[in-house]
Amino acid sequence: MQSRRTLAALGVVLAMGLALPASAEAEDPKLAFEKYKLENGLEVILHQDKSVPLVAVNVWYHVGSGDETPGKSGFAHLFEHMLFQGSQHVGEDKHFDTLKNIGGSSVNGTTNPDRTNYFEIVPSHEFETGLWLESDRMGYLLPLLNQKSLDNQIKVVRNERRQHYDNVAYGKTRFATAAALYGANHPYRYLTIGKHEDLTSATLEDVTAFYKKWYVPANATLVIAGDFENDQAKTLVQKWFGTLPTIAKPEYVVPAFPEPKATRIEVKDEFAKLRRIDYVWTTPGLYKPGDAELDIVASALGRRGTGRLYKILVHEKQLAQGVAAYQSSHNYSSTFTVHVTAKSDADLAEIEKIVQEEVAKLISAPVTKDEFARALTGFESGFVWGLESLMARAERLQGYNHFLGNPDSITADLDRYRNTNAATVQEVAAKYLVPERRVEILTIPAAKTASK
Amino acid sequence: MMTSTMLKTSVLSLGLAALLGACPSAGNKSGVQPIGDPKAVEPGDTSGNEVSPVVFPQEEFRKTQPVPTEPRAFNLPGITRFKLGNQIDVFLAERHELPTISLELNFDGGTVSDRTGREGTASLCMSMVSEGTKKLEKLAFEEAKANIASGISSYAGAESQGISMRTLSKNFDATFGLFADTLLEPGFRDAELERMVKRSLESLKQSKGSAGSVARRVSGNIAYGERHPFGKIVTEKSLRKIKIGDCKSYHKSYVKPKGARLFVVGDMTQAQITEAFTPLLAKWKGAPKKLAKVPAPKSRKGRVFFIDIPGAAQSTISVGHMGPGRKDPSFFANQMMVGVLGGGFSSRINMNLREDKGYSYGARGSFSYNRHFGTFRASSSVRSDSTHQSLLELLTEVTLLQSGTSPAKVEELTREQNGAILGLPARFATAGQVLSMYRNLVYYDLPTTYYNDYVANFKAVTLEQVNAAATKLLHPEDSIILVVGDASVPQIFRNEENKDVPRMKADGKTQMTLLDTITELAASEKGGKGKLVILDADGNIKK
Repeated sequence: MQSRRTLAALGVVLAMGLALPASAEAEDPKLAFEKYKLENGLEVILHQDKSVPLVAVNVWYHVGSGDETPGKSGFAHLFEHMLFQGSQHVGEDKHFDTLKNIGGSSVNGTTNPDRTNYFEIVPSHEFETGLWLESDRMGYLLPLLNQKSLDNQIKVVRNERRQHYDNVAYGKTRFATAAALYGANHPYRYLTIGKHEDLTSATLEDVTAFYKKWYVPANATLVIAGDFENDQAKTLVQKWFGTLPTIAKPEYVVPAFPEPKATRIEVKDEFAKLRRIDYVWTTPGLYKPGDAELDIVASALGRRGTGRLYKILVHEKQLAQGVAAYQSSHNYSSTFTVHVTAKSDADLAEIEKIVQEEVAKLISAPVTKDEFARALTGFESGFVWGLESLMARAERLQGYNHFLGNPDSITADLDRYRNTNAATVQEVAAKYLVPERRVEILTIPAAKTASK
Repeated sequence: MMTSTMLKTSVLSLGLAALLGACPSAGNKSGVQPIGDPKAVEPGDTSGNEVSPVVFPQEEFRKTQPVPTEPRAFNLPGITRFKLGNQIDVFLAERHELPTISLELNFDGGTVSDRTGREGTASLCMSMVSEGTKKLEKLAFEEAKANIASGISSYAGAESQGISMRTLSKNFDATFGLFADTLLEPGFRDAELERMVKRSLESLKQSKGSAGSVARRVSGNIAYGERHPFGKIVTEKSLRKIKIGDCKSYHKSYVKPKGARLFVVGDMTQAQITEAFTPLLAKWKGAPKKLAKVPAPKSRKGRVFFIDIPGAAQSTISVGHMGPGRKDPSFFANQMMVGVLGGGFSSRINMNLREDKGYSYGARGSFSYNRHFGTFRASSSVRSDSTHQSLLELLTEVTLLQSGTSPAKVEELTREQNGAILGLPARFATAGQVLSMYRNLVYYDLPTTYYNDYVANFKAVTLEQVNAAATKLLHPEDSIILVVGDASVPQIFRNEENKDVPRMKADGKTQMTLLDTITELAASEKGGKGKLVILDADGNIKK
């Protein structure tokens, strides 16, 4: 049952930089860990680092807004809020209070289309309390579940939507884009935050059903990172999680790859003061063939300071306040976006003509050697910078485990960029970034209605 | 020439466990009726082949919070401090686990030095510093950095500014070369400034669009006064006045080694720093221009300030006034007090506006500090129809604590103390965090041995001190209220049955709008009886 994988040293093992002269090819950073499975199917990954007396406790449930069903948009995230409201042994609304009392930090949870995570950093001598809190909400949520608390969190989540989507410039653009890309039954259509009306209609039965289906031990992975002994951690994990029952891992419904019709939509925005044009294409999911190549295309097109569109639109012609190009990767499918915020007096048609030309150039000719190298160097260095914090390492292990089934995938991930080439990048661009597959969203500042 | 001191601050186990005595024992103490019987066994998934019932065991040990083990002694990581030539103070947080280096040269100066009519000079000119060098124009400079995945940037804050770089160790020399050129020979091309001014004008336009950014723009202006260095607002007019000569002279006046601080984090040693900087220091000398004295703040006349954003989906609200300074002798008690009120998720303000009423996604209250002053602010972004009620709730929470009607309780203080003390290692977890902890001390001119007594100081705070701080430092009746939202939205209020109901006008027929309710608030005792001032997004009084 147990698959073990122990790497040589503890903590981050690095063979880059000053310690090694520039003779040998630098090695990728490695994270030491041990992975095993409890009988009930809960995956456990231990990563030791004793430099500071802290432990990061991080649980991923392998369910996200991408697993929602029509009419229940926003539910995975609303549910995440409910997991902070209380469980049988911990008590109602005690999660944050308990953690503050033991010096906990980085306490939160997040939901995205692919997964839901919960995490906290605790002093190492209080590490067991982290396990107590996580095991209690994994197994014992329902006894304290109540209507008052659900009503309150529906309000809170709707406030979250207002604050982060409804009351900011270009918030509407995000919803309009998703609506243009995905059909009525596709789970990505209403974004992770969901529709107000779906949130309002969530019931206790929904919460219970979601919990029983998705929040089973076999559908979760626990990462413990930091200052502990492996034996001690295993004993405690067995104590708190080992007796939870074995329940089958749920089946996933994989939505069909979205093939939207080429279309153009106009959005009137009360809060935006500058026009913005977004070009969006559906593209291969995270780690799927083509995903890495599109990251390289994005760098060549939109990177601040050096991207082709930055140079022409922002710097030389000064038509744009800003440009961005990015591959936003998720499990079932991704999107590739180019957006340009137009200066007040700029000719939008000219901007769009340039964007179209520059995307077409990446289809008709490969990226340059410099552009390719620059992108690769950027990704490699980003990995190193991203490994300092304990929680970032826990998240990295979780991500690779979730998507690739192997927490030890830093090199495999970087190899995707190293092992491709300009010709393949061009092929992928030619396959996906064509005008026939393009969704265009134009956001226009709305004239404000006079105040009464 | 150089002195080197290792600062090792040790925080011992300090009987931290003793503090834990007050940990709340767990268990369901809430009065809320649970659904279903806690002892019930959840039925299994009957659709599959498995027949065995799914049992979540009711084990005794789950009922109580685990007992902590002996805390591990934790030595607060120190930093190496030494001087470079030309009177630069160096603060080094040395770490070699990762091959990364970041450093910042930090200077006095910033928007406090902006001349009236040319607001935005410091900010614009310090940004200009990293927009290309004499040798490399902007795009070539960008490529040089991108080719080695290094970063160089510069900024100006209110009274502190800096030029920084970050690089992988193997690219240190190349990056440092670019950094040195940035510092000594910034390009300061006219065309580049024109680009930046144009971009800043568009950003300014954009920032007037939504409630949150409008509130950020005007809050200092209201609190400190329109002519105060911390209150001045950058406008289209002031941006257009800034010329390249202003930037050149700004750089000449304020980017000087004497008194500058060099903060270094990561894979670097004292010897390497000295070696890198020595040739540079032969070319870079002198002292910066002295900053003018910052006058006392004089808040704008009025009590309730309102900015209308038609169609806003939420309102941004705040209640605030001047507060104690960072060096106030009661600093530790002050922090505990304001933590109880609004410090985190469990604080009174958040529990009220978010967890009880559902008006907000989150609400906080805190003291913030600069070198000269402190301010108090309780704020939130709230559902539009509950704007007025949310303001009342904020004022009520401040008043309850201030008046002693609901003084801080021992469990609240314990929670805040535990959070501050036991949470300390997490604030020193990475080299970047270590450095920022010491940077703060330098900024406030506190001794670098300050953290030696940190834990003891938090521990020594008594409930009496906390409540005395509340009485002395909170002034709900004399606070400034800022509301940015849609004036026309009908308002609710919370009735005696704890329900939200429409708030009607005296005629009983029409519901009061946000503008009606805050007009009333400005004239009432609750608001501290003062004028309602309606502003535009630039902070000018609207006729």
